[in-house]
Amino acid sequence: MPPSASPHHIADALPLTHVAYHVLVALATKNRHGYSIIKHVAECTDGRVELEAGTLYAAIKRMRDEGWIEEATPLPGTDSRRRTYSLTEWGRKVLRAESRRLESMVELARQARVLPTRKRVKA
Amino acid sequence: MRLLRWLLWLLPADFRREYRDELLSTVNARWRAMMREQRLQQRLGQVRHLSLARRLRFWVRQWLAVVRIAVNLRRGSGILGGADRHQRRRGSLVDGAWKDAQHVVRALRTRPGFTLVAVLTLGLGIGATTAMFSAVHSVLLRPLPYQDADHIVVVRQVDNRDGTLEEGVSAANLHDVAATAHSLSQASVAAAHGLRLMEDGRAFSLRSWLVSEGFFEALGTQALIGRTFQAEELTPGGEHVVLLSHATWQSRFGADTGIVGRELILDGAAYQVIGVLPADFEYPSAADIWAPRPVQPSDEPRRGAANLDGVARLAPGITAAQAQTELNHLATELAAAYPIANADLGFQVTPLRQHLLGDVELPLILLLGAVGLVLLIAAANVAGLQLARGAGRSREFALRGALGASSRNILRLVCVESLLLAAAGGLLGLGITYLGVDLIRLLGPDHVPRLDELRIDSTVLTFALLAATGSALLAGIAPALQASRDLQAALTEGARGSTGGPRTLRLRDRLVMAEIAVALVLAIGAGLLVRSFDRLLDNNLGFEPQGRLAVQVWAYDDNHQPQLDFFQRSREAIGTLPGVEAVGLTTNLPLADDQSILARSRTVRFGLAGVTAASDGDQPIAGWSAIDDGYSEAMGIPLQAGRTFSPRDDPQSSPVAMVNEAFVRRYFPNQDPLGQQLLFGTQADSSREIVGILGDVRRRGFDSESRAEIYLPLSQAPSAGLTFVIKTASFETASLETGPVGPGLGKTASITTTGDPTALIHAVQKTLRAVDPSQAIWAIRPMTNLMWDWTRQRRFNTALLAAFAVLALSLASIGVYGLMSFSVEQRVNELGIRRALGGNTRDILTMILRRGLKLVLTGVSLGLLGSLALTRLMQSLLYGIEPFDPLTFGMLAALVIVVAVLAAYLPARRATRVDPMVVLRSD
Repeated sequence: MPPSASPHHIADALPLTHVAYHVLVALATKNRHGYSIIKHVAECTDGRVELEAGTLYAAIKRMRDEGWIEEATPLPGTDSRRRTYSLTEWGRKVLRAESRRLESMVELARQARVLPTRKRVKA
Repeated sequence: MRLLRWLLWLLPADFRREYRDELLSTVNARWRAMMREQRLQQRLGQVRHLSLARRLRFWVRQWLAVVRIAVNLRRGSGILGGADRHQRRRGSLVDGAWKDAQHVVRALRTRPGFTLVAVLTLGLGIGATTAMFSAVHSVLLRPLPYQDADHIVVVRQVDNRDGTLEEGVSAANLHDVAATAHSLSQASVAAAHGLRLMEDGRAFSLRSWLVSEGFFEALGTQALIGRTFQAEELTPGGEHVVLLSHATWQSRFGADTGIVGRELILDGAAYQVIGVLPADFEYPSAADIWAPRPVQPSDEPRRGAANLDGVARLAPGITAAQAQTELNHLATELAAAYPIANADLGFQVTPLRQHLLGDVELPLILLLGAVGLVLLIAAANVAGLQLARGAGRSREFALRGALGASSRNILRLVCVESLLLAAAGGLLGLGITYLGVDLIRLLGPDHVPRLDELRIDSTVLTFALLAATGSALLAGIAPALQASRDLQAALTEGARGSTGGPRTLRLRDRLVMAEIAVALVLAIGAGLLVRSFDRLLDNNLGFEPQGRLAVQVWAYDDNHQPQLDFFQRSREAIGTLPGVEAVGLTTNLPLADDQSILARSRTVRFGLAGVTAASDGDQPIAGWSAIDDGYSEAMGIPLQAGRTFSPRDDPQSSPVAMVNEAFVRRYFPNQDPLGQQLLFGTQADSSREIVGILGDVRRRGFDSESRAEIYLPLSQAPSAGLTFVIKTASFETASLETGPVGPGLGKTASITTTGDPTALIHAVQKTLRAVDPSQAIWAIRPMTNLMWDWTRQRRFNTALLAAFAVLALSLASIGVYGLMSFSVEQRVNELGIRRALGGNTRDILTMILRRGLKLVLTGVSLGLLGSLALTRLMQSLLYGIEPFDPLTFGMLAALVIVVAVLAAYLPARRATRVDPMVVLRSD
């Protein structure tokens, strides 16, 4: 099957690996290059999630193949060797679908009283 | 970073093309950010050191990530999650191997014991071999950092009477040779020297080499910045110029590119810096500066003192052997011209490479060979283990065959298994290599050139890859052949065909025999080295290094006059320190020769009353040193006859001297030397009376010989460069609590312990600084360190070879054990029937052991034969022992037999416990 044939049902893409999820979330706010993604993920998670460069670029390659992200015009003042990536509409849909899936799963935990019912922002 | 670059080759090509640079640049940015953060923390005082663990973790994580994605990208899984499903490719040949690999990994997981042993064995073998190879590569294989290094030779004087090689040449002799020899285009000498640099009112000691005309031309070295010496600077009076070493230029002058033309005050005189030498230039050894040493008329009388380093460049088209022939001829002429100083003079021409590396070449290659043998044993062991498994697996293969697997499929499975094992072993081995390289750097002898430049580069990694692939082939080929043969057999035989068949057993027998033989060869090699070392330490040095601290100080004023007053006051002050029993001073400390370029042994010409010298430059020579009245006691050198020096031997009293026993043997073979006169120089008042004879001292380590030596009282022969020998107070261990120990007890008590000299270092430094802050301490070391330094190379060789031998023997025992367990297992039925029919325990034990013993004895015989052939190679590494030392051979053969039989006994014992009922019922 050619790699460009992305699944027509978003559900087929789920669940995402945590690496894929973090990368999509990082790109949801603004366009970033690879190192910026790593830094952003580390900052958002208080350093608990440190992506290795290899893992990151494997994910980037596959996401580009799937059409979730694409190369964007470089941010001003960045090293020319670094490419900047942006989220595509399709990628945003995948991220939204996965977030909903996670939300509904967290909701299950709430109903089972594993978590307090107070709403918490996911770290 | 380098390893990461290498690992990137694992990735699929399309990914690599597109993301390689970006990936590396990101890793680089993260690394720099991490280092910045760590440095900041360090500056803020949150952490004291940059954390090595953190840095290591960083790299390991990057490496592992690359390996992981290499797999995931190929499989198309584990990257995005659900979307990966659509990535998976259909089956291909690679996929088949991949499936095999997955199968093998699962299969290996179910047998963690086998996997662990196989990976560990291969890892140890590959790692040790690669580490050793990196040493050989760094020291022997890389070219020397001199232009046309093949044309550079080292010239040394030889005493033709007994073939003793002198330390070097004398300036006058080499000068004459350079002037007449056609085979040499340049010839030059270098003299070790110490210079004191005054900077901002503080004194720093600089190691320096003074070199004569043609030195840099002979080596083909050009200055990195500026220029080397010119002819007029190498004539008397023009010598106030210096060249800096690269390291000194960087550390002391901040790599200032405008350094040329700067003036330095060295020993009170102004010197101009004319250049900086390249970073890898360290000839004759590492130093801080190089300065000119003109050949002067005053060299003439020191013709016999061969203590300068002679280096020359061969004329174009001339070989070292041709130069040797010409120099032999010149030596005869020089010997005729100066019959006493040059008595039996010869020259030895040695190619530079051989001079620098000759001593270390053989041990390094032997060690590499030894560790290669260990790798062979490791591979044989894994092959044996796989054969054993293969035999048990023929049923599995038969099933696979019946389900349609071709013999090629099965072959591939077995090959993949070997490759995977070797790859895992190779990765482990790489880790071991890193450790091993550090270990070699740490333990390696200082004087092995370029060992400190040891590093793991692409050549070494290639070697590791080859070693891993080679061992995979070695370990895999026998099992693979066996497996395909088994397949044929299994398809025709019945399901009962789970025995390995006689062929497998024979193959394994041979493997195990070879392992035992090789292990014995290594054990005997190591044994010979250990016994040599033991013999060597039996040699009496002639003094006591234990509990002595050696402190080397150069103290002179700006007119180069020795500061005797400083030494006198320092000696008294050190003597009053608690824990100090005796203090002595000497110009030439034994064992310090060659350790510091300042402390080369010095020689002096002298005359004997009644013997007339033929000419000024022609007198007998002996080593000399000036010592004070406390020296022999502080060193523990016994007085053999007469008296030692005393404070009454001062400049005003009549001149005296002491000699050693070797001197007496050489110059007064049948006379009483006490009271005889030694003549120095030409004046009538320069005669000295021999007042005492000291014991011989091995100045250059355990394997050196004592030479004729003259001792002069320091007060009558002042010197600026002296070494304090500080003897720590000895105490009787048994009567430790009874209070202070009387003087002299250290010599009489049977159990005495000397104090720890290192505990004194700080106090001594403080004392010397208090006496005069402007004098620089050159070196401060316990004498035992000096002693061990002389044995470092031997210890290194011995320890490594012994470690390899132990490793080999352990692996071979595992091999024997494995084979015997296996064959017992295979014969469980037969043993059960024997037991049922009344065979007693002893018979069964004997039967099994007999087979093991036969194996072991054959292996040992082969090993003994191999040792006979191979130990001859290490003749030059042995001391006081023959390469065919029967005791070593016998003892180690016995040891190997005992260990191997023990390894065979354990499975044999198990055989006697076979319960006949269980066996019969299961059938």
